Amino acid sequence: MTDPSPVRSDRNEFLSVVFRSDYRWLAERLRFRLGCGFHAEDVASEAFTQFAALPNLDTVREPRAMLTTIAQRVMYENWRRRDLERNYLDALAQMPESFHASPEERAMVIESLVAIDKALDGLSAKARAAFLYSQLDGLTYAEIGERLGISASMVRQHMAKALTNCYAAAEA
Amino acid sequence: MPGVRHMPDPVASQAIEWMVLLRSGAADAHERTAFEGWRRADPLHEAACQRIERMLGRMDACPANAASRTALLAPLAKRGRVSGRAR
Repeated sequence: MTDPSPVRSDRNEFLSVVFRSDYRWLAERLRFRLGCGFHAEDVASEAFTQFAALPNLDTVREPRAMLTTIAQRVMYENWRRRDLERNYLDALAQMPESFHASPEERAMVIESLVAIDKALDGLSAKARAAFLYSQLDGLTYAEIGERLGISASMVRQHMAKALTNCYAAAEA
Repeated sequence: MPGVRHMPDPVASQAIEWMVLLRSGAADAHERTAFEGWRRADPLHEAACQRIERMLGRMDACPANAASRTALLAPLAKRGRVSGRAR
């Protein structure tokens, strides 16, 4: 029999130290920033969960800085999701033909929008628009170029970038 | 991580090139057949195509295209930072 992995028990010890000293600190900081204890607790616990799942925890020198960075990303993703949802529902409400979806269907659409939005992260507004006109509306590059005031060959370049992002964002 | 994208491998680049061409509206029947041939020629080609199609397939779950497009093109609202100065 070999002993239980020393690396793992170090890891657990490290995590419990971080949890005791830094988790509270983060939750307090977030409460102060967000002005809502409930939301702050949510973000802090999600950040800590992601922190605990980091593959290279042993190289983390400043847990608070790392937790802050992760929390920032979690908050950004929450906000982004809320924006997407609100914008989608607002746009639906303004459409002449009303589209009826169950809450489950709606939740699925939001999930998809979040995934696509993440995949398109970092692209310019024109590149995003070009990709969406192609993928959602099936327009040709000439038609897209006309709408966006750019050449078809520029549309082609935007599409290449967007599809490269889709490849990177999809699971292998 | 936002903004960080690694360069795809050569097979992925080829798959992307094909897909860019096929969506252009300028591809002819000959090119479509050539793509199908390329795709079938190697399981890696097929896998690269499917990987992109998996992400594109998520758009099929988005009825009401105009609303999806509007939502995805809306600019990001301004937000605070955890590390910034408190109000």
